[in-house]
Amino acid sequence: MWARLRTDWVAIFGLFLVLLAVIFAFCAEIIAPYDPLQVAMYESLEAPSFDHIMGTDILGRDVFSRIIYGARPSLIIGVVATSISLLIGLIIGAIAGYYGGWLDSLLMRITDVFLAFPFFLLAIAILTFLGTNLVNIFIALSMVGWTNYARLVRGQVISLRHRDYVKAARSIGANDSRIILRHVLPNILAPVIIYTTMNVGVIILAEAGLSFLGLGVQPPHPSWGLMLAEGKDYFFAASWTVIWPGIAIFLTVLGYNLLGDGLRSALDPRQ
Amino acid sequence: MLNSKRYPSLVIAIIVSAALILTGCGLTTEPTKNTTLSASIPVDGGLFRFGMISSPTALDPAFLVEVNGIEIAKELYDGLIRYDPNTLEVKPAIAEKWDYSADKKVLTFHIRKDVKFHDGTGVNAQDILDVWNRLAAKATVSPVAFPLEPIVGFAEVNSGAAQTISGLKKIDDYTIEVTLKEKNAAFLTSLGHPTVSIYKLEAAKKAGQDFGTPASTPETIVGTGAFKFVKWNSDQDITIEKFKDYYGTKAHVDQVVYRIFKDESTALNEFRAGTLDYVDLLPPGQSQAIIQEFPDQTIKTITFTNEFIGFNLSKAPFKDNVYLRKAIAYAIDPQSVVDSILSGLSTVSNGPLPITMPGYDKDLICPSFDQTKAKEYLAKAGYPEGKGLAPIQYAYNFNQTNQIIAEAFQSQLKEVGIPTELKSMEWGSYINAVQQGDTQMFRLAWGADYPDPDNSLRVLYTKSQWGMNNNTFYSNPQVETLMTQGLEENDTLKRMAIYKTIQEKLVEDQPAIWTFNTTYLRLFGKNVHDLTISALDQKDMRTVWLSK
Repeated sequence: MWARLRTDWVAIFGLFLVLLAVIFAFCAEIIAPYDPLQVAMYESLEAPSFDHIMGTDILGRDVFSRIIYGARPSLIIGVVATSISLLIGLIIGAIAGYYGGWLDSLLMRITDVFLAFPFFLLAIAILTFLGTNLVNIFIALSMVGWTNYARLVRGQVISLRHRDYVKAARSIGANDSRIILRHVLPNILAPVIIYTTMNVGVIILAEAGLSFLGLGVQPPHPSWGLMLAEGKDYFFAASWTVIWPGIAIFLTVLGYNLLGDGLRSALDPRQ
Repeated sequence: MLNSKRYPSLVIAIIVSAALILTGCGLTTEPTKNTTLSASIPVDGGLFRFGMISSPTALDPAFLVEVNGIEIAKELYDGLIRYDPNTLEVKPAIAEKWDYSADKKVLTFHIRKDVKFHDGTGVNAQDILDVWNRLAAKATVSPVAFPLEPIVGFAEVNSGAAQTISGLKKIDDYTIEVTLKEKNAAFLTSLGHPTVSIYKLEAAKKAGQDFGTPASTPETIVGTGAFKFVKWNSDQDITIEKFKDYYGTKAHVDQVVYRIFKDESTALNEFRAGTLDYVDLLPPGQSQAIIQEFPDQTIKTITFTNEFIGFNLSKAPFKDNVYLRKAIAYAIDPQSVVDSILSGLSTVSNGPLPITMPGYDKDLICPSFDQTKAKEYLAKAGYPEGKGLAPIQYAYNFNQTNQIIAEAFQSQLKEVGIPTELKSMEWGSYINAVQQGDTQMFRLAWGADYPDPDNSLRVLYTKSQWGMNNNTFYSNPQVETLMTQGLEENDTLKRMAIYKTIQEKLVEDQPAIWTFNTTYLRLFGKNVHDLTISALDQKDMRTVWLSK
């Protein structure tokens, strides 16, 4: 896979963007020139300069430092919420696909109920009900994110459950959980990995949207969505307060999407 | 899919380049000018197009709970008195004069004989009594019947035990006698609130539930004001026109159309396109750019709204710890917020009264930003350098401005060692939590309903208002006594001296930190003249005129 992936320069560019965000998140203390929470009221809305390469926000905080630190909640929420969604989706999808029958119908109707609500509105409703903190953001985004995994995994499992190697495993006495874990799931990993990679971008975008609406990361902690919300009223006077977090969100989501596309090509046996 | 992947780096390069160019092109800010309008010889006629942000909820005087409803209703209905739009002094309106009894508990109003309803019929004393009895009635369920509360018999009507207010008496067709429970120097002033203004009850009754709603017609809204109702297109516009038989000084413009917008930016764009003569609210953060774009076309108004940070005195850490409250008062710097976040478009408060309110004490010495003093008081409070002080919850209703200001104050408090946690909530849950005493430190604002210091002080700092408007749960027997004296004193000089003492006591006890006087910037067309905006934030459509 890597041999094919590394020849795809677009995918490598995606990987570079993702790694850049990861480096920002892990090495924020080293990279950021200022404390992202340090308010300096009389340096409010300073244009980009040598002192503040991306300018300052309304409270005089260094925008570059806040962009660097802002990578943390985006990536943490993106990765954790995607992982929880994946776990729930894998379990439900595998059970529904493998056993079929009434259990499949029941689980898929439950999935349909969740799918009937618009993704973002359901997340807002859950957060409004639960209140805003990091754990609740994980819960809200996972609750709305698992359904697509369940559908994807179910479809893949159905296509594999009557394969000869599954029948062979069953004939030598392997139980259902062993067959699912050892023989079915490893063979559906490729599409799941592709979807997961792309879904991290979707979750990052959702987190930015929630923070923009005041339901995500709470101030004064930096988050790209929150930075957009706090800067939007000053767009005409200080466009840098909005443009840089916008670019950060755009490039990170683009990175995951390009990487996902690259993985799809690399893992596609027909190519 | 693969083909579409070949150009992302180019796209990114273009976007990043554009970002770099744009980020270097920010507007520089300049100090806000306090613009006033000059008067010249008025011209009659024309349509005044008023850009209003958000729709009024009602035009029924009994349900005037928000500013836009009041804005229009005050043009449609006159009360017994009115406020001078410039000085806010009480002036005669439907009542041409009034007398007090010797004990100051009975007020006799003499009604003008030339006042007409918009249908041409005359107004008499019984019309006034009928409208006030409806406002007080239990069945009306008016949330704004407060001006009538001091009248004898109000409580009985409001509870449903009586039909008419016993303290209201018709002496003859043009004389009314009002008996008050106690001496009340603020009562007369409160009668300038549009909720007690006069309309034809018979027409309102015919409309039933439709009275004062978009279903209203000129036959159902029959008022007494300088303008009469024409139509209300729900969420679009409300039109009123000059009442030619008005008893007072007649309006100059023929019609006013209040065009309703959901957001400030759309209204501003309409103004730029020349389809509005006035915009009531401007997009946040753009005031300096607007002043530059429209020089000499903006007007700045300092209102009766005072913003404050309240301390919950019913529980720790603020209960019985005035030093901690003082430490916070010295630690925050509202001026820095005005200069940066609010683009110079607000006014730092100096005490519990808005600076435009009668009785405001300009010599009052309030704690102001001084980190050394803040640290001294923090040590006196038992928390030297903040040691042992658990993070204090600072709650606010969510909007971007409140949030950014909260972050600024949080940072300033941290500098002297006071840790805080920010808690943002939507308005409904927030006000509920504040009223129930579930917060520690909270942001609120109080806009006075009429120009009298009693309406800003007694409402917020007496025990009878605990859990309603007094959410600091402050009570000081000395202050309570002074509040009563202030209400009963009819000599203005003596009265204001009492309110000066009350302000000093409040600053001493520090149940709150008074931060900003809400200040608005408004935009008007070059052809608009003599537009007056009072500290009550009301724009007088009778004085405005349009040049050709």
